[in-house]
Parts: sequence; structure tokens; C-alpha cells
Amino acid sequence: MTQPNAPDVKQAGPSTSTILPISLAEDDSIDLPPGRSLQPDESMAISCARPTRFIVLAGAEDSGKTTLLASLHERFLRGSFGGYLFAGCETFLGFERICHKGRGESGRSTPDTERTKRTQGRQLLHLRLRIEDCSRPAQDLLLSDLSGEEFTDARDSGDVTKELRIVRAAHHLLLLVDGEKIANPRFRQQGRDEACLLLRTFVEEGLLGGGSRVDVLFTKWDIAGSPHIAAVTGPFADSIVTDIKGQYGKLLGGIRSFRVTARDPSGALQPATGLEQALAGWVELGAESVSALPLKLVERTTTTEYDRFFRREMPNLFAKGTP
Amino acid sequence: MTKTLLIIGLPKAGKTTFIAALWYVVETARVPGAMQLAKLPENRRHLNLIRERWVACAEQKHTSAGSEQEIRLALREPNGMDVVEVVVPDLSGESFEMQWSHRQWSRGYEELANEASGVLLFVHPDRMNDSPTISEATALGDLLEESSSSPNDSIVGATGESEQDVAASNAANVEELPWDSSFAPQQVKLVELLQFLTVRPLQRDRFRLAVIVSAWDRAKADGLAPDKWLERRMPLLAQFLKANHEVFQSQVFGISAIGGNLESEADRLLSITDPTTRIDIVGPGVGMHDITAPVRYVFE
Repeated sequence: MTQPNAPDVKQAGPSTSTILPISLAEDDSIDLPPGRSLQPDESMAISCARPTRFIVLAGAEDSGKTTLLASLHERFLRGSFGGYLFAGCETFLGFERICHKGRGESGRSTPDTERTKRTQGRQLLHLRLRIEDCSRPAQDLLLSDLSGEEFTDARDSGDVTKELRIVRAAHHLLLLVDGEKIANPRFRQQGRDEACLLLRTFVEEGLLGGGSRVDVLFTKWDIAGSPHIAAVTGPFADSIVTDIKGQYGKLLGGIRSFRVTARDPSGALQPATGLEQALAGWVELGAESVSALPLKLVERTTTTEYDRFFRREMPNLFAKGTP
Repeated sequence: MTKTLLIIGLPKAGKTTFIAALWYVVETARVPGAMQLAKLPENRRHLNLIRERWVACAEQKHTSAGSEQEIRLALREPNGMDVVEVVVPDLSGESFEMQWSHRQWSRGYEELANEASGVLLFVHPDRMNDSPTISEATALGDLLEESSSSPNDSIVGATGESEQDVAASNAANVEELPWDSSFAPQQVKLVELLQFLTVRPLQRDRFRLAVIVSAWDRAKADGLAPDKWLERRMPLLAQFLKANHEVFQSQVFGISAIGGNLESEADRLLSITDPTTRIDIVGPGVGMHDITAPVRYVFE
């Protein structure tokens, strides 16, 4: 409510106080970090600056990779998770974008996640976590958001698989088994085969080895774990894990399994339910990856202040010969 | 000695109202224990304008990008001789919103941020925008439906439609909106603004930070101390500050610089003889009405 005699700042004329050059003008602006998802070469600024765990999510189309990533962001918005505090994020815009179709602001009445398209390239999202009692320093995580088509193609062709060097760089591979398929007798075997063939491909092509840690994640467990089918799907999921451990237990650094409800449409479960125990492994278990990402950045053609900053401050990140 | 104080907050977070009340308190020197003005600033037009509005219980005009003011106050402790010149820029919330959405800041802001001894971070309880998920909204809707499950109990609106009918009709009519960065929750934007200071591009390794929950008269309805309120209502920001406590030495204050709701309590507020007694501030070791406490904390 405006009072009748209240002074009006606007009517009083312009102030003669110093006007700070705070506002953005084209010739006066400095670029800030982009905040979007990173391409692998862009992520070197993080991984070279601090020890970073690299986590690759692998699974068929619609198995829930992007929804799982979105659920991690949603969960930390609501508080600490799995014994860890949120300590930072350099890809906030990337996370916010993939959360959009699950939020009220989207105008949707049912939650969804936009599919990651192959044309978007291989994207990475960043999270910095710290154990809740702060007894250890924070740990950086880079999580992949790749199109499911890439994995389908890799499963079908050895040549394509060799191109997936990103898997070789992983400290942890999260192998997603689509719980919605497990829940449906018609697609149950397909759900198993998609995941198991993909894992076999990675092992035989040498992308995973003795240092690799694999988490088998049964996604959409709100569907697969429904009371009316749990007596079937539970043992079926167990049998997949038993098979995988039997086949690859001695070849890989470690195999764990989790049943995950990333997003419960009924709202009864918190986002990322089932990942509480998995998270500690990603943060604390620093298995050696089979190989590292490309060691040097290629000079980017853009000339933003952000790029210049890294070229100036971290010249050792760039390949020799780049200006 | 000159110390710069950076004030960060999204639009309508209460930054200008705080500065108005601060100016009144230090100039009148009526609040026991509060810092006092040592010397009138050379240029005080802006300060006096916002002070007049604050005294009159009038809402402050929106500070637009491009009309931001640099305020210099020479302050001293009540019994002290040492004078500290405090530079308090009254920055537009829009310029912070633009840092988030346009991913740029000005050279002027960068210089300020580099020089700043500490930060006052403003959070407004009415502008939480905590972006509920559709699943949460569905669960809440189901709860509301259960509580009015009897057909005879359903609430009928002015048009004769029940709330459920209206909600169903709205759901069907709402158009899906493309993603926009402005949809992000307030706490995400604020964490990003702090990251710009400490991770990139500035990489400052230490900051004193006073988090000010403004309009505390509304927030205190939750019955929590300010730090617990922050943990409950802005958990991402609270986690970030705890996880980065070596960088941000922070303390949370609840401040109602006006003392109540301008819409519904203006008459009561105007009837208070000494406007400094309208100020309600809560925080560790804070004296009654001492709105200078966050400034002192940041400069300690």
C-alpha cells in the first residue's frame, strides 16, 4: 500500500551519487562459465584442476539415464543425500534443463524427460559432493549423459564400440536395466539382453578391465517392483546379477546392483530412491580407469573471456603447438 | 580504512529496504550497541530518498539495472574512535538475474567483487520458487482431494465448478512451456552467484558471508531460528555453505527491516514513534533492532 504522502524516489529526479558501472554493456561485459552440460574436452578444466571421478551411464534408449541424472539434482535440492552434502556444480543449467519436463513450470500434467539426442554430442554433468561431517575434502564427479542410440549401435558393432573411448575413462560404469521392460513379460528378456550384451561388448572390446567398477542399476523400480509382479521381477533381477557376477566377476574390479526409482510419478518416494548406497561408492571408490580421457585440450575456436581465461591460466592443459 | 561490502540478491529480495534502515540507524544513533555514522557522506541524496520511503512505510522503488548507486558510509563503533568507510553498492536484482541467465558480468562488478571484504546475501521468503516436481504436486493434490473426499464437502467456486473440476480443466488447458533458465529455483541461482566469486572466474579463497533472510516477520511463522530456516527452506544453499565453510565463513540473520506487512499493518507500523524499534533482527548475539550486526559480522 502506498502512503498518500510517501516520497517518490522516481519523481525526485536523478541521483547525483556515483553511478556504478555494474550494468551490462556490450563493451563492458566479462563472460562467466557457461553452466550448460560440458563436452568431454571442456571437462578437462575440472578434471585437471582437482581429482575427479568419472561416471558413465550406459543403457538402451529410454532406460532412464537422463532421468536418473535429473533425479540426483532434484534430490540435492531437497537436502543432503546418501551421507553427502552438495558442494558445487559447474553445470547447473544442464541439470535444470533436464529437470524441466518433470517440474510444474513445464505446464505438463505428467512428468517426462527429454530424450538425449545423438546430435547433442557426448555431454557431461558436474557435481561436487562432500561427506556430511566434512571430515574429508569435497570430491568432483563428472557424469555422462549420452544418447541411448550410441549404446545400441555399440552393442551391434565392434567398430562403433571402439569409438566409445568415454567408457574406458570411467571410474564407474552404471549399467542400466530398464525396469519397465523387466515388468512386462513380452519385453523382459529384451531388457536383460540389452544390458548383458552391452556389458559383454565393453569387456570384449577392452573398454572395461580389472580396474573397472560396474553398478547394475534396475531403473523404474516403482513399476518393476509393484506388489503384483514383485514375486517375478525380484528373482529375475537377482538372476541377472548372478549371471553378470558369474561371467565377469573375475574380470572386473567390482560389481554391485541397486534397484532404483529415480522419479516416482505418485510422489510417494523421494527422487533418486535406491541410489543412497550407490553414491558412496562413486565418491569414495576411486578405481583406476582403463585409460584417461584425451590428455590435452584442443584450442577452441571461440574467443570468449572464459576460453581466454583457461588458455592464460592453465596453458599446460593445451596440446603443444596450439597458439 | 575503506572496506567494501558486496550485496547480492535477486530482484525484490529486500536489499534497498535494508540499506534504507541501515542508513537511518547509523545516522540517528538511537539503537544501543549499533554502529554509528562518524561523518555525513558527501553525497546522500539517494540515501535520504530511500530513508524517507522507509520511514513512511512506503514500498521502495525497484532498483533498475543502470541506476545502481554507490553508497559510502563512514562508520564507527559506539565508543570507538576508529572510522571504517564502508562502501555499500545498492545493486539491482536484475543485474544478478542477468549473471545467471546471460552468463556475463561487468568489469565494474568484477572490481567490486575483487575488493569486497565480505558479502551480504539476501534471501526473500516470499520468492522461494522452489520448483516442485509434477510428482510432488500430484501427491499434494491427492492429499487435498482426500481431505475433501465427501462429495458434499467439495468446495464450489463462484462459477459453480468444484475445485477438482477447475483443476482438471486447468490441467487440460495449460500449454507446455519450453525450458527457460529463469525457471530455476532461487537457491540454485544464489549458489551460482556465490560460485562465480569463488570457483570461477574470481577464485577468491575466503569470504565472510552474512545470509539475510529478509521479511523475517513472514519467515518466522515457521518457528525456526534463521540458520534452521535456511536448512529447511533452502537446503541446497545451506548444504553449499556447510560444505564450503573454509571459503564462506557464514552466519544467518533474520531481518524484518520494516517490521511488518506494508499491506495489512501500515497503520500499526506508522504509529510507532521511533522507527528503529520497528526493526526486528534475529541472529547469534545480535542486539535488539541492531541492523548493523551483519555489517559488523562481515568486517570482523
